[in-house]
Amino acid sequence: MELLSPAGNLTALRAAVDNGADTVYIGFRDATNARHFPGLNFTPQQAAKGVEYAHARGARVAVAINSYVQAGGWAQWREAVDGAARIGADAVILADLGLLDYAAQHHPELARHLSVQASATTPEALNFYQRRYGVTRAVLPRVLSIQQVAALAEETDVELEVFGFGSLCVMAEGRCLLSSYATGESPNTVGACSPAWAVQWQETERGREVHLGGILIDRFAPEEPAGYPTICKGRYEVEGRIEHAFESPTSLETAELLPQLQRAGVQAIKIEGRQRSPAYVGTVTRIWRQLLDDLTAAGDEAGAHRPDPARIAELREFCEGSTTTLGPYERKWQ
Amino acid sequence: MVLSIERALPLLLLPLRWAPAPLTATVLPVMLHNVLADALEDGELEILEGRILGIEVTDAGLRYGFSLVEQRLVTKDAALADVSIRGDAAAFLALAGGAADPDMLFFRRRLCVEGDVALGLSIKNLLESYEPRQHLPAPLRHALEAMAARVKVS
Repeated sequence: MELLSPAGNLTALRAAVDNGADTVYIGFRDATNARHFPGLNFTPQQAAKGVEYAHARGARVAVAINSYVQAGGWAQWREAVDGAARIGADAVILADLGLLDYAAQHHPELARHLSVQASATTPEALNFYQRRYGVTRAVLPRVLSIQQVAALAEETDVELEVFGFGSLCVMAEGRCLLSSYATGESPNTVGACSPAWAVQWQETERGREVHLGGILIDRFAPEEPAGYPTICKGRYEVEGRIEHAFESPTSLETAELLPQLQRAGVQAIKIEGRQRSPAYVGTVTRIWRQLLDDLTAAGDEAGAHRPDPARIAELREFCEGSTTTLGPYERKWQ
Repeated sequence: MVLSIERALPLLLLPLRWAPAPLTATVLPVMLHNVLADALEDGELEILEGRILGIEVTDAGLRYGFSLVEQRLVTKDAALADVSIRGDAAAFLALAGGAADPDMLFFRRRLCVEGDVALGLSIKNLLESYEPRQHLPAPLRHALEAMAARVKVS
């Protein structure tokens, strides 16, 4: 299985490549991708340097252009696709139909991956993207169980990429407008769930309070682990009790499911976190490289293979919130 | 008894606490100019033009404000900061040495950010991108990285 690592800048990209990522995924420094934060991401020049660095070491670069083209924004989003082609990227990760069509027409040599933001979960949808836009790979939304992933792999030739590690979102990717109620913006429109200008942290006597767009969305007791300031991870008063009304801030950590994911026909494992530091990218990539190499070394025994618990413990140090989950992969209720 | 790095650091930083303000106002910008030369040259520090970044090392009792005036970094009154980043000395050491992820330190409550979050994020991303420690003389950088690696984050 291929290992994809995130990078929000050149330093992180080098850390990913040096620690064994097969592919690094990046974004340009604007609203054309879903991690649009101040000072994060690549200028075209930096992206070109990144591609050069990766290619010289046998790694690939994919450019995420996975927000949706906004009214009047066609030139900016199109330029991102042209820019990815110009710097010699290996793939673009797209969600918007207009962009998929444009990329297929104008840059047929640039591999087209379907972003998780497109939220495609059925063989019919994947095969349509393949037939119509030449999509070769799809990143699956974090809603499918392993059985569902395996069933999907049976019915499509599109390569399947799944998230293996990192922060989880409310699992309505590409369809989530929660934050727009507080900020007027959403990941699909401006590339951020909680745009930095709308976030306010305050250390008070009652603990750390976080407001989004002026609305109190959580209060963390002293010593209590905190998380990212998104509406979906906030705590609200519901019928007299204050609780995580949408979801608890847990992190996805699927190392122990690796053999099953491989058997299900998954081609690539993705690490979340373009907003994270080079220290995070380097360490997490190194551990996942080892986990995948261990799996390969296990060969035919892969079914009985158990990942090294020490490596898993090291991974958990990097998680948001205090708990980790296998996410939807092992949910029975579907 | 071996003193942990977490407990030793605030003591090591004591001389800074007693250093006269005019001295730090002269020395700190010079040090910062050395390690942030690339960022200055690329104009990336302009985000601090007319804005003040406050840094507070809680257990060492240190508090500084920084701003950019006519392409030069200068110290300012930290009480006037637009954004303040607070943390213990070991957390800052781990960051400076590239041994810890700032988001994780923030989740684990070792760092606090108050004020203009967009400015704080810009500075975080700038520092990660330019890695000031790479501009230190090699022996100093190695010592910093080795010390940073010993910090316990959680």
